[in-house]
Amino acid sequence: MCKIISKYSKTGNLKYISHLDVLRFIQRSVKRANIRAKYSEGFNPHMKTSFGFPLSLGNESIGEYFELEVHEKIDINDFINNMNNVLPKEMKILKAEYTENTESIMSRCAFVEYLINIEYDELDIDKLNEFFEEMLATGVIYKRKKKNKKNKIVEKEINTCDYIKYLKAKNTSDNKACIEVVFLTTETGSMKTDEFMKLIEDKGFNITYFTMMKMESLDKNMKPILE
Amino acid sequence: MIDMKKLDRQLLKVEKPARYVGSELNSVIKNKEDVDVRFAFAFPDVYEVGMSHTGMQIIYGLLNSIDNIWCERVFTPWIDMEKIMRDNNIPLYGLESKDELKDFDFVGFTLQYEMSFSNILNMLDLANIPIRSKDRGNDMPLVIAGGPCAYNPEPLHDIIDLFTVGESEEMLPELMKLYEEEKAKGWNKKSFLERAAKMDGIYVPEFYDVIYNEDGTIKERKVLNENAKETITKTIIKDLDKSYYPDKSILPYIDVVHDRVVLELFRGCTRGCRFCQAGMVYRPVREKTVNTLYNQAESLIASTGHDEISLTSLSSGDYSCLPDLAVKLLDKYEEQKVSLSLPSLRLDSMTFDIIERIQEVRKSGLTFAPEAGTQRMRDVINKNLTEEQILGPVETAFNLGWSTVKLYFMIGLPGETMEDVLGIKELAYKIKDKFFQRPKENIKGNLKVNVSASCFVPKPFTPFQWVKQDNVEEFFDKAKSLQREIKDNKISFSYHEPKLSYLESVFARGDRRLSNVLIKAWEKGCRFDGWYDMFDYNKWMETFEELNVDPNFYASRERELDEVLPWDFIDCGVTKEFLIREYKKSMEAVTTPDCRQVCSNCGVNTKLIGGACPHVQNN
Repeated sequence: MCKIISKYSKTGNLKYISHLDVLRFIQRSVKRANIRAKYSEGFNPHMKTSFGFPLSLGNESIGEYFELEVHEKIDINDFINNMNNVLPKEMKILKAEYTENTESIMSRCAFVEYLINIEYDELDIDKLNEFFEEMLATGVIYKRKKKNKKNKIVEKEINTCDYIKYLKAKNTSDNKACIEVVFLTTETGSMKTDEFMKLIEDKGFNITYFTMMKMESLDKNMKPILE
Repeated sequence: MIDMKKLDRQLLKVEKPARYVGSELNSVIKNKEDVDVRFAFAFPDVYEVGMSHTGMQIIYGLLNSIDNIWCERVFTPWIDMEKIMRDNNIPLYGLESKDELKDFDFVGFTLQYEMSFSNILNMLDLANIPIRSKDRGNDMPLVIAGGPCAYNPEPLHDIIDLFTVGESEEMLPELMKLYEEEKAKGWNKKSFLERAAKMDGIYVPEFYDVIYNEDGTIKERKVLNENAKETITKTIIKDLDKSYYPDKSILPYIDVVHDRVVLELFRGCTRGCRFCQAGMVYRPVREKTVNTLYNQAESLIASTGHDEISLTSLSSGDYSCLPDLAVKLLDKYEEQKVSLSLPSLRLDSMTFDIIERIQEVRKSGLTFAPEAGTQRMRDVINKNLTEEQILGPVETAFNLGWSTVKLYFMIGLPGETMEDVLGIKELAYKIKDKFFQRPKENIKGNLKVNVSASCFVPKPFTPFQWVKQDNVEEFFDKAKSLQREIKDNKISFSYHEPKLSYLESVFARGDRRLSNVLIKAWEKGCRFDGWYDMFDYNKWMETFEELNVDPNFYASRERELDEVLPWDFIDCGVTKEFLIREYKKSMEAVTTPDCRQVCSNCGVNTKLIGGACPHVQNN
């Protein structure tokens, strides 16, 4: 079996494209690149691909992953070049290699690292970092509303300290700062960037604009999935 | 450019934000300093509907193939986005540049269905462009429109500056050239419209006036400007094979209605179904060659990576080289698993060996459109289809392993009786019997017959342009009778909303007095009328009443054959004499043969608007 694991980016306006749409787009890109992919059998054949955790709408990323099964071994640089020739500038293959690993990308991923750039008119970074300390040490509890299987809305309590590994804000220039944060991804879920931002805004920090960039997906040893 | 940070902060609040950001593969970005004409192709419906429209892909590619023109796209923002745009003062913008629509030279609407008209007003308003043509001066973009509903442009006469009637692949670049000339001279809207009015297929409504009789019918049309023509003749592509067709199409990121490569096999149709406007106005038939289509498929698949090619036309089984083309495409794309679909296939022309091969890639349901339940009714509408020609192919399909069949019918056809309506049920039951009256060992799968009935809407330039439409009660009566009578768990029945078809019928055959109705109804909040859950029938009826306009005058009135019809000034190639002959024959349930058998002298054979009709016989 020939399986390629690729690390790719998803930036700019592609942050508005949902996970399922990305999946279909990448499969079409494989076709445009004339890469001989493997398909499932049956009446409705599907390209054999698998993906990492879905990236929430609104987040950019330079640390996304997918795997693809191909018919025969081709030069990995040819794969990267052929794909990048047909991909838009907002999505590029950053790295790729053949893999024998049978464990899924999702189960290998233990942490995700984000960089959040914020803009504001007035904000005390020290106060923000104090709040971050609280999130890490004692934890801040919030409620997540979710629909259950019966389509009923149920509330789930979430404590930030269960899901945040690292968190720090730094001033970058006047009225701008960046937040570095590492979330845990566990079997029971993860914390979402928009929930995180809402906690900050609800605490009274007035942010006028922000962008969120996923930097990397990390394994349990805090190493990138693909080094 | 609009305030992008403002937009960015709001977009995550709306459903499917990808509708509003552009950046799709094969969308075109140009440097605005390098272009002379900026054109916004406006589709008055949501992104997913507009992006499925082949005409948009053609015009977009065509205009952008000209160096100094930049064509962008704009769709109707859905209700949630509209609210955000209004609350935050974000004007409607072109998806490519994010520049507001007001900065464009042209806003060109495509008129695919009447129920999208209110969205046109909403889009202009969201762009801060005045609704009425007369309120737009030299500083505003020209608002133009084309597409099938431009064959009766009058209900929009107050809104649109200029209509293009017919196929515009050749005429539109000429119009752009004229615009450049006029712009270079120092821009004057009126001077441009006067010169444009001299071109074939261009209709400038402000150059005409209409005088009415006391009974509301038209007394006469007056030409108010010496540059304007008495009759507007449609434009048409003479050599479709050599006509522009894009070699790449925009690949949407989100799931759209038709997400596939579209090949246009031919334009026109030889069948002559009497309810079908497209079958009349797109005459004569013009085919593309297998070679051209094959090359177009190749470049479109290479540029998109789509996994489906749709072979479209008004009746794809009639394409003279269908088996040749289908086999070639299937052979080429066997490994890449690209499937074919044939959306408009007539039962009697089905070539099962092709269908069977198509199914090897992906198996889909089968759709048939008998249109009417009884032979008499099918003869009235000139469907030229016997019961054997329906049941035979259905049986073949069952034997080949199909078990799901979709059947399309119309109710409210001219002269229809309850017996004709219940004929729909009879036919569905006969199809069910065909499934079970086979040897037990051949019966596989779970039979599902989906019967759907739409309400007949008489359209201009068809032999039924004079007839009275059934009223809403009659439609409900017929639909509910069928619903009562079809009591079989293998057969399901659904019908279209009669109130929607009624309003569609008003606008399809409407006149100038409907512009005010449209504007008022939009002011009351009507939009997305084609979306059943958005459609507000009562608001429309309220508007008609307030403006003292009787909708029944348009929908539920039988016209005299010598009445001046609002669209009579347009020449679509087919003569009124032919339509009258066909109307009279329909009342006696007499059929007219397919043009390929006998020429019925419809007019395109003598007027030669589109060059020689391939099926003309000198008789």
